Amino acid sequence: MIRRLLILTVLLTTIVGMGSCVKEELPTANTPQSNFEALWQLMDEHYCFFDYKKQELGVDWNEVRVRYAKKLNPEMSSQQLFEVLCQMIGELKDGHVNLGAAYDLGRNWSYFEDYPRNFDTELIDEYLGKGNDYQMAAGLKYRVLDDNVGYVRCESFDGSFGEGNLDLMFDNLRSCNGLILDLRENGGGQLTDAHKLAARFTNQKTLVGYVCHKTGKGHNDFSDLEPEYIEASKGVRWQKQVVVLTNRKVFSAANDFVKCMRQFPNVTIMGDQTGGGSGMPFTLELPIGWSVRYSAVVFLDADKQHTEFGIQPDIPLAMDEADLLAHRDTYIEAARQLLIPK
Amino acid sequence: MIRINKTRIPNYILPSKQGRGWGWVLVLLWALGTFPTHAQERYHSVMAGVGWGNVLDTYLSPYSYKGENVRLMRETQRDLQHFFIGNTPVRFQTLLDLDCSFLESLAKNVNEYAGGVRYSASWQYPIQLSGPAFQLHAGPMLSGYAGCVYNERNGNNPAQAKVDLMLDLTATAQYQFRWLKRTMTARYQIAIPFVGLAFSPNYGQSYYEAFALGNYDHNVVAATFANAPSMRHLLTLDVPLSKRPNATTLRIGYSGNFMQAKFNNLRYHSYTHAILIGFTQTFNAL
Repeated sequence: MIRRLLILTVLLTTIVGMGSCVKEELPTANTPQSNFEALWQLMDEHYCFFDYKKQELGVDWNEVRVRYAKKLNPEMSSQQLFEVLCQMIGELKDGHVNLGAAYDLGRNWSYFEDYPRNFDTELIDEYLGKGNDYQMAAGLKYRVLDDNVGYVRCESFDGSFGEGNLDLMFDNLRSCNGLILDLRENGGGQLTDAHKLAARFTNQKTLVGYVCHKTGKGHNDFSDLEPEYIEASKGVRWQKQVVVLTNRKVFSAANDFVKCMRQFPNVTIMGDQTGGGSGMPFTLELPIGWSVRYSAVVFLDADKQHTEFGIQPDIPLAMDEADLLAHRDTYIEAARQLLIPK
Repeated sequence: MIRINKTRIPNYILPSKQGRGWGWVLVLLWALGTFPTHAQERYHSVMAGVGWGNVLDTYLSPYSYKGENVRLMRETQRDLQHFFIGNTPVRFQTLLDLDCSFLESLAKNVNEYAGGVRYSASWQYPIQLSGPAFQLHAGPMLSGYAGCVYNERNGNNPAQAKVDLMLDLTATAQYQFRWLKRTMTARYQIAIPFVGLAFSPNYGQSYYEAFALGNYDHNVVAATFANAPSMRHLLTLDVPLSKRPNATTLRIGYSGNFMQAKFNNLRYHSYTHAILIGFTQTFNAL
């Protein structure tokens, strides 16, 4: 009996196993039509902001398919196809949505290209000074300005600074009356870096937002919203006022950093609206080999609102032409006025 | 009918005063029949192989990656002295299987690497269909796998961990024959994962959510032959290098692994084929 059962079970599972292959679901042929269908379907099944983009921009992804399918023809070159596909995904106005070929990166950077830059690199160099006028803690440039205000230039969250760097930097700035954290042009990087820095500005565990991900192919297939907290750092923490300077190029992880900093009591956000980019991007690909980057995970703020199109500052500000001519950075000067004790 | 051989516990494994804890562990092993108490044959086999692989993991790419596969296998096998069916002892086998695939995308412009290690232990019961030259065994197998697939292009979804713990069913057909004045052994083994647990991220879940924020979402899933229809094949031919008893044996073989899964709306397959070569040594355990 035992033998018969064993033989029967092995035979049954073999038959079931052999009859069910797990294969690709997207088109595999390398033709314009096939690549178009693969891109449309891939985005349709994985992109996380369709409902929000429909609400804000009126994007109907099914209508987009019909409209762009008319631009295809079997004889078109790969560069022509690239152009059509880039236009199609550009409809989503998402800086995290890219099509990557060896010769180009398809992108929609309207989130900063359509706005004033509010930043001058040479002016920042003048504020930082030369030689050893300023210090560098693994990518973070900082100095004490003449009026005893600390200035930190954070260009990126690319994983360069560690907890030790932050301890030493904040220790060096401890006698300052206040701190300017210049985030302008910071295009993001690693979320863990952004949160590592944010944890220096709170003394308690603070709710900063919510996160969810897709659980299936439907536009509304999402997991439950999970709260996201910043825990107070165990290292040196900043206890005085801080002004965070932002412009439209503050994007992705830097946008998330601003989202977190807004929740802390001693923080003022000053400047232009941030660039947004609140989805965590994943990468997939097309049969032709081009990479497809898209927003996959949704991060909301503490009020469960999207920050995909940016965060409004507490104090809106624009660079003044007269200030520029006088070699003055309007943002830094306004922040100094706010921080200097009256 | 399974019966326990009522052999007395040999003195040398009885717990001593100095190491009573370890002694009782040995008694337990003996009771389970996995400890050799009499002279018995056990063999160790080591094999290396090369072949090709085909891996699809829709968390990393919607398309299969193909390329070369290399693997190392170590097998031990012996008859348990205290578990019998009729007059034939139950066979105990362990298999350690390490493999690595070096893969290329459909467009041949991105590399992917897939690899891991599977350890399995099986208790194979004899099924006597004919004479001693032809033997059939079948039984349960416990197997565990740990590995990963790494795609060198992806940013926030660069890799996928592969972990499972499964109860498999396995069956072995073995045939001994004389050729060139030597006794050769041809053997075919199939193992089919039946039920167990496996790790999988959810469809669009990032590893950052799971491991940095601790937001788990159906990450340990029940795996069965229905949602993870898989099988592993091992075909070997043992050729003794001399006519001496227990002589070292040259082993040539084929390993075919067909692992598949559909968890959390993600699809995965790893098909690997490898030609194996190795050696088998038979020992008389005391």
